[in-house]
Amino acid sequence: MTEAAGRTKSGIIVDGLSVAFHLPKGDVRALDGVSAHFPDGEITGIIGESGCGKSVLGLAILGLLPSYASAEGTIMLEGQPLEPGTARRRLGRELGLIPQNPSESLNPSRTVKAHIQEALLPLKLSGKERRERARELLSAFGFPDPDPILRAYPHELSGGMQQRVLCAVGAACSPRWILADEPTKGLDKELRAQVQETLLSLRGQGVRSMVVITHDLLLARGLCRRIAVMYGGQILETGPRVLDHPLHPYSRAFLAALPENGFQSIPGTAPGAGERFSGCPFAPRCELAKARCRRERPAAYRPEPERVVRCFEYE
Amino acid sequence: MNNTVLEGRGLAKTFFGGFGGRKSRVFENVSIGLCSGETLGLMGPSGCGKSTLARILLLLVKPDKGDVFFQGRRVTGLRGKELLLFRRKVQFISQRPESFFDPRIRLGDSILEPLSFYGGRRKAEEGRERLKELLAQTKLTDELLVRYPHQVSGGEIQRLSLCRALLLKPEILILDEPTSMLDVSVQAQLLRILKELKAEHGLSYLFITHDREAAEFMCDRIQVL
Repeated sequence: MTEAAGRTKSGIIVDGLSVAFHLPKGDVRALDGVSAHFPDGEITGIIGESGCGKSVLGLAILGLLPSYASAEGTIMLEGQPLEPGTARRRLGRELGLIPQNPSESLNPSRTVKAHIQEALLPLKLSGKERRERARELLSAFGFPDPDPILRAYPHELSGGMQQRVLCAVGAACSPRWILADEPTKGLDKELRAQVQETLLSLRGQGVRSMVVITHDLLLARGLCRRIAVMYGGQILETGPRVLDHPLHPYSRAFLAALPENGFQSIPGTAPGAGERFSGCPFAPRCELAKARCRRERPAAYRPEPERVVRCFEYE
Repeated sequence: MNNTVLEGRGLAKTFFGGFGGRKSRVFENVSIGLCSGETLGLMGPSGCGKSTLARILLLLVKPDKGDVFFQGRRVTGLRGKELLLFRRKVQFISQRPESFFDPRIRLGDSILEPLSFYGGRRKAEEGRERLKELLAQTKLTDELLVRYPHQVSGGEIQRLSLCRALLLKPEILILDEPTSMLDVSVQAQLLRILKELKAEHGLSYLFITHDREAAEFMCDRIQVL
C-alpha cells in the first residue's frame, strides 16, 4: 500500500494510477503510478507544466477518460472505489466539473438558461423550481440581475462572465466535490482575481472540497492549502506550504520561473507526451541529478509532517 | 521622435455587428509610436482594443480615422507589391499560434511557405539553411519540422512561429500576448529567447500584454490603452 492509501479514508485517494492512451502509432502513457490524497474539506491544487498529466488525472477521477484510454490502479471516494461507471453516475450530485476554456466549453447555440437547466436535471425539479434555482445560482455568482444573463448566448458574455456561468453549472446540484480545470487560463489579472473569488464563493454553495488544476501559481497560492506538483505523468511533491517552501528540485525550478523571481527558465525541455522514465522524470533537467536518479525511481520520502517528496535528496 | 519606425496617428475604430447591428466603439484618437530598437509595451484590460490597434498597425484592419506611418512614410491603404514588402518588414506573433498553422501541413513546410512569396523556390532553399540557425537560436531541434501542429507543445509552436516570422528578416515584430497561454516556466524561457533574438537581429518589438511583470521585464517604455 502506498503513502496515499495508508492515510485517512476521507476525501479522494488515488493509488498507483497509471493511464495509457492507445493511439494508432502506439501507446502513450500519460500517468505513471500516481498516488495522492485529496482531503475532504480542503482545496487542493495540482500544478505543473502543460502536458504533465494534470488534466488526465482530473478526467480519471471523474471517470471521463476517452474510450481509447486504459487505467490501472484505484481511485477511492470516501472509502468507496470510484470506477468509471460509478464516477459518471455521481457527476453533478457528488462530483462537479468546471472545465477549461469557457468559450469552448459552453455550447454556442444554447442560452445560459439551457446550460444551467440541463445541469439541474439530476435534481428532478419542476420547471418552475428549475427556473428559480437557475436565478439563485446566477445571483450567487455575481449576476445581480440574472434574467438577461439567462437569455444570453455564450458569445454575448465576456470571458469572466462565461467562467462564472460555468461555475454556476458546476455547482448546480451543490456537489460535495468540485474539480476545476485551468479556470484562469488566458484571462487577464482582473478576471483571474474575479475567478478566484468565484471559486471561493462555491464553498458557500454547499461545495466542501475542491481540486484545482492550474499552472497559475498565484491562483494556487490564493486558493489552495495543499499543493501537488506534477511532472512527466508523476506527482513529485505534495503537501501544504509547497509554494512558500518547495523541496523537490523541480518545484524549486518551477517557482523560480515566476515573474517575482526574475523569469528564470528551467534548462532543457519538458518530456514529450508519453515519454517513460526508469528513474526520476526530472533527472535529465535537474542540476542535482546523480546516476542513481536516472536509473532508479525515488520512493516517497517525508521530510516534514504532511509533506511527501520523491527525491533522493530527502532519503 | 525622429527615429520612430512605426507610428499610428489619431486612430479611431468602431465595429458594427452583433444582434441588431449594435455599434461598438473600440477607441478614438489613439496615437502610438515605436522607436527603432526599442521594446514598447502596450497594456490595458481585456477588450480595450489592444489587438485591434495591432491589426491596424499591421494594415490588416482599416481605421475609421487616422493614419499609419512606417519609417516616416504613410502606409495606410497600401496595396500590391508595396504592401507585400511592408508585410515582410512588420511581422506578427499571435496569442494562439496554433491557429496560424494549417493543421494538415507539416510545420517545416508551413514555416518555409511565406518565403515563396518573396523569391520562389531558390529563396525557399536558402531559407532551409537559415531555418537551422533560427531553430538553434530558439532552442528547438529540426526533428519538430516533420511534425504537424497538434503534435507539438504550446511553447514549441510559439517558438516555431517566431522562426517563421524571423525567416523573412523583419525589422519589427508585433507580439500580441505571446505568453498568455503558456505555463510560467515556458513563459520565462520564451521571454528570454525574445530578448536574445532582439539583440541578435536588431529588432523593434511592440509587446502587447496584460501582464505587468512581463511588460516590466521586456519593455523600455509602456503605453496604456
